[in-house]
Amino acid sequence: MKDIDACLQDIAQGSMTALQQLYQELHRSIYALLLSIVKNKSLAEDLLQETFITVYSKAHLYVPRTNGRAWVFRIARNLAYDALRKAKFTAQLEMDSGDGASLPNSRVENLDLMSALLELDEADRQIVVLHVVAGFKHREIADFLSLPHSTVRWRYRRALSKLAAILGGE
Amino acid sequence: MIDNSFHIIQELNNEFEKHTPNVWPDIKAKLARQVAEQLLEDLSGLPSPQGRLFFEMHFQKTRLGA
Repeated sequence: MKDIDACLQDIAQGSMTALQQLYQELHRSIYALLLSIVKNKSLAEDLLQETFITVYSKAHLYVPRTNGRAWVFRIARNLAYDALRKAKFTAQLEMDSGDGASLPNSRVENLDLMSALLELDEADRQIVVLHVVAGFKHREIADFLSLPHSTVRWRYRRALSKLAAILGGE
Repeated sequence: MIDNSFHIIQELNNEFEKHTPNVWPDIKAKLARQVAEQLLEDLSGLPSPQGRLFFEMHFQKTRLGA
């Protein structure tokens, strides 16, 4: 696969093939990030589509060699926060325990780990997902979330301990 | 029971691997629709006097008149 910068440059020229390559490379980790923010499967799925559609229409604005992967993740993150703001989804989801699309109800599908992830606070969830699923380095996460590097490191360790405790029933 | 960081990391990746939906067909369809709509918008309205149709009409007329 081409690197992400090369893909973005081809996408800026209208290449659907390059967009598909980028999708193959990033869709899993983008979905993980979206889910960690909106905590709702169907909304995360819609936002996943919207992220790549936005990438296609804005690729010409990307400045080459300025971390293409972080640029795409920033689009996803902004879309997720916009969606939360518009729909005031957070409060609604806390109250709406009957929503079959929300992750906590997916425990029956053996998603205990993902449910446990959603019990972490929001920044911790994003740190775990960005590091574990998306493969970002702690330093990149610090830039991405505007947090000190050392904070990202200890919050990551603390989050993993919390996950272990939740899953271990401690 | 998952009891250490390594397994948590591994399991988390497995979970997202299994449960991430494939939305590529929807993305492709939406973009195709957008492109088609843009094309139709570009083609709407009166043909330009500089366009090929006008050129050919003028060419035919002058040739027949000659």
